[in-house]
Amino acid sequence: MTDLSETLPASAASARPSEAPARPAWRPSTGLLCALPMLLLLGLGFLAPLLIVAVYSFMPRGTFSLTSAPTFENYVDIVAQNFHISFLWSIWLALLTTVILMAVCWPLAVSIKKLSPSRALLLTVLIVAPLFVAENIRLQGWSLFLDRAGLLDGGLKATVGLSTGSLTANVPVVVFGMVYIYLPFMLFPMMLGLANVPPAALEAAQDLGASRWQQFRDIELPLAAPGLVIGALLVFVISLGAFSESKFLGKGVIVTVSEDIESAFTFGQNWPRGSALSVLVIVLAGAAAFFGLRRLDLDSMLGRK
Amino acid sequence: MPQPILERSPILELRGVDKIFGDFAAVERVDLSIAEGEFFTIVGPSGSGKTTLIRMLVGMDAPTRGEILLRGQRINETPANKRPFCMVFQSLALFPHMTVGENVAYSLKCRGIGKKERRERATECLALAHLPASYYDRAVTKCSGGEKQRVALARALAYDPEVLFFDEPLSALDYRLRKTLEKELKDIQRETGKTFIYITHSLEEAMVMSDRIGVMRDGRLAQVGSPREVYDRPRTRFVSEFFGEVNAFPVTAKDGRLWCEPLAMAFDPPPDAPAGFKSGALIVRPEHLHFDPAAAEPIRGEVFNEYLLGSRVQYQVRAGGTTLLVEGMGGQPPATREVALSFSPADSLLFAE
Amino acid sequence: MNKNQFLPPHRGPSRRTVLAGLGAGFAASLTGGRVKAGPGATYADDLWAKTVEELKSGSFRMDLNLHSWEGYTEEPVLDPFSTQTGANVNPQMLISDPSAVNNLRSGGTNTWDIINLNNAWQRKILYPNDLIVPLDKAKFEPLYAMNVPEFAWPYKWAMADDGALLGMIQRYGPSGVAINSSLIDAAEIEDGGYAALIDGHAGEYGILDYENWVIMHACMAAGFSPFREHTADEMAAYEEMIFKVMKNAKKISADAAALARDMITGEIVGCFPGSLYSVSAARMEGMSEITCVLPKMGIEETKTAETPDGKSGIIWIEVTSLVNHPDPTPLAEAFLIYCHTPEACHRVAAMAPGTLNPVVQMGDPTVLELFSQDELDAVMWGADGAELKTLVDRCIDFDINPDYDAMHDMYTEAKRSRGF
Repeated sequence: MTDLSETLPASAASARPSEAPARPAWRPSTGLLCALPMLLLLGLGFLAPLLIVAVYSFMPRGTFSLTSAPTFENYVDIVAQNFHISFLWSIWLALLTTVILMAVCWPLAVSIKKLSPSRALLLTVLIVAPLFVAENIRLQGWSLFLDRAGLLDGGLKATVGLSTGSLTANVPVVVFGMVYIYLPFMLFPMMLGLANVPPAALEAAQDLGASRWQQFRDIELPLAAPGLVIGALLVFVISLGAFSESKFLGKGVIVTVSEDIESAFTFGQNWPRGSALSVLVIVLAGAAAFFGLRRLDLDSMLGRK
Repeated sequence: MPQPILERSPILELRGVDKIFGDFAAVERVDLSIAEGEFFTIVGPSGSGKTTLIRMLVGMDAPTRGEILLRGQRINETPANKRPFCMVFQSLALFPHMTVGENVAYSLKCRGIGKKERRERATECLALAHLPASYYDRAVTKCSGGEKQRVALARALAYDPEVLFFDEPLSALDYRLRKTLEKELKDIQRETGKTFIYITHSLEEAMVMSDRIGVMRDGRLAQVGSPREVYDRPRTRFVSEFFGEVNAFPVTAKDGRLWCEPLAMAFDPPPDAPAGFKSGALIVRPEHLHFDPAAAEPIRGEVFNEYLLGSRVQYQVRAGGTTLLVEGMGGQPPATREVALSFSPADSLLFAE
Repeated sequence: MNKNQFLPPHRGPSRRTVLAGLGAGFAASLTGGRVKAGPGATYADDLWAKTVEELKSGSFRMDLNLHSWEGYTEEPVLDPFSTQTGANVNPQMLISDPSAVNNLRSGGTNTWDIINLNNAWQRKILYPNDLIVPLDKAKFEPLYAMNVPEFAWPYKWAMADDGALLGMIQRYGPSGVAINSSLIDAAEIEDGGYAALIDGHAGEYGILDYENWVIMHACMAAGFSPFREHTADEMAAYEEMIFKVMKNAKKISADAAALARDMITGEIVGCFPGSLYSVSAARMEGMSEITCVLPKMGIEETKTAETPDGKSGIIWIEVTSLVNHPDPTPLAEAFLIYCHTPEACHRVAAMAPGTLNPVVQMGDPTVLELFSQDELDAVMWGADGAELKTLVDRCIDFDINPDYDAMHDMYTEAKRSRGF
């Protein structure tokens, strides 16, 4: 055999590229300086309001200022009253929406990936287009379609003499509404995730004897996981705060946490209660994001290795 | 001495295989027989259909017409994951989320082989590919380019295929590493006795490793033969030129000799000149043109450039309005810029037009 | 009235029917010079003409910032005023009475010149806290001559205990339940009370979810006024009632138009609560079977010698006041005068998005003449205003509910328990 001292791994290991050169003593990097305006904006526009909400949640009932002595009464009230019902509904609906959207969007994303770029663009535009119409208006549209004597019921009655009655004011229609509204939030991260799956890797797996299921489980799913996790997180967190769907399609069949929050801030005239409910939702969403993102390598998601 | 290649039984046969995309024939009427344990290389410029051909063999594409036979059995309809073949991709297609070991052992996992046995066999394959066992748990993304090549090879070996396919896997590597791996690949092929089918556009690579070479052009196999045959006796001008720059003299038959109008002189035809030749090209490789001041009928020209090609030197000679290439070992540079050149008719190739 | 902030604009009377009605009104007023102008209307027109003249001299702020329910934020109402005075009117629609009050308290007096709210707030909160300033009684008292008798001078909710005039009154609306009278007989509710809907049509009615109004009517259904301190027994009775109201409802929506549609299609037979406000648009479209009904028999505490049956419903009236702005503009008072001109009265009543409402100035023949028959039917005017008067007579006045916080907690609990 030839002398492979240069090419053999044993010696190659000594010069691994992963060992970065030592950093000089700390000084503000260009990156930090560039990020400064954004950090300021986030601090003022995002953290400060959050902080105010958090402080409000410890104010006594019905106050509209932040100067009273702090109290836990809002949280005590929330536990004492039946708020667990709306929390459980919100969490359950968010989970259900996330799972359904994963199942619905996966084949869609895989098919879009296989399309020619121009067709994929067309389809993407068609999927994005409804986002330019306000959510409430789209949901009202569905309500008009599904209500008794609505477009569907009336149309069927006029053509084939069948009646569906009202298809609104039930839980499944709420789930449908959420799946419909949040589809893009799952689809696009998922497409991004699937873009991380080199077609050759799938072919290689197939070539190595992997069945379609094994290719999906061992190659596609793990490689697309970052997109999947981002999509699931987005959908879960946004659905947790959903209220238009239960309002416009559910018509009072259930109450979500966000409806409770809205009621507390408006008719309830109880900003501290609304704030306390908001804090709890934020904690829930934060926990979900924390556990989700912990499993995720954002660098590999963005294509850095 | 191993048995001569063509006397061994064929493992893979292609009969009249076509692959048509729309109105474009990527592969057309290919007949080929590959022997058990052979190192067969398909060479061709890009777009010549070699990748399409190999994809049909592996089972990733189906032929439009024709048959693919494995030991005499038609396998057109057998999907890729059911064929006893394995491919090393141009991109290597390693699974980036897996360790080296998981990559290598993946085919074993798919077959439901236990963890312990998987590790043993994968480690053996790593050794075959000259990777130490300690690499088993290393992230594949942390490997260097050459190491990745070895992982890809080990992964293919672990599958224990009857035929291994290679789709230009070395093209991205630097020259030196490529040379090393070419030789290793040949060694591994000899050690394992498996059939290797290799695609490359580099003739050099093909010459080093192959038992036989198939030259592809425009979807067809232009010539199949041993490296020597293909080099010395190219059947078409394309094949001859594919091996590197050549001198091509336009000639017409005249009184049993070959008249070259631009040089206003005649050459003797090569001994195997096709009967009834009227006009065409006489091909002479640069290394077969010699500075020969004593030649009876020299080609007269003027050296105007010279390049050092490692151990060899290439000269550009202007003669009769054309530029000729002359390659020498550097031993005897011409004494003057005015030179006389000659070649032996046995070293020339005559192609009709 | 707590109108809903989620109403999409311009639902209900189509532009065409509104315009047709308008045309008829115009025609009547133009051709019918025979109609005898009421003294109030003449005074209003004269006062307005004089005010416009006065505004031509003097320099003052030309911006008029208006915080109001939907009736006063519309172009048909605002455009003539802007055109005649050159004012630049910035309307901002209210979200709820208490929110608006909170906004005024937290510095909104520097922004707004005019605040339009339901009654009670002016007397009880705004005036005692110096958030609004009284009107010029001498100028405004004669305008009361236009009013229907129930709102004659001196009107309690427009005045303070010290006699100050706190604002102008205009739109009003009785509230009880709404039904589709082709599905259930109005007499069923009139005779059977709220229970005829809540128990008698369990699973068939919807809740019009303006939360404070649901709470108020649940009190009325439980047999007592929401507008006073409540005993523990009453709170328990309220709690039982609100849970029942929620449990028996088929659906809940804050969209009055959607619920009206559901009544028309037969998806629900009625609405709790239901007010003239929430049925008028459907009536304007010709669905006169959609109607507001009030039980004949009222709660015990309202039974007096003059009203032996007591009162079962609640009536709201808007009071429009001048904000105690540090830099006042005469445009604010001018706007209130403008709103009394017959043309403006009609526009305020009939051209709000998605609803029509009676105005107190319909007591003046000049104003009344501007209303088409469809518009009068939409606001359940009846013969000479008799139908509307019957509804108004069955109502107690909207006021502030001192136990609102606790009742709202129970309300949300009851609502959540539906999904359990």
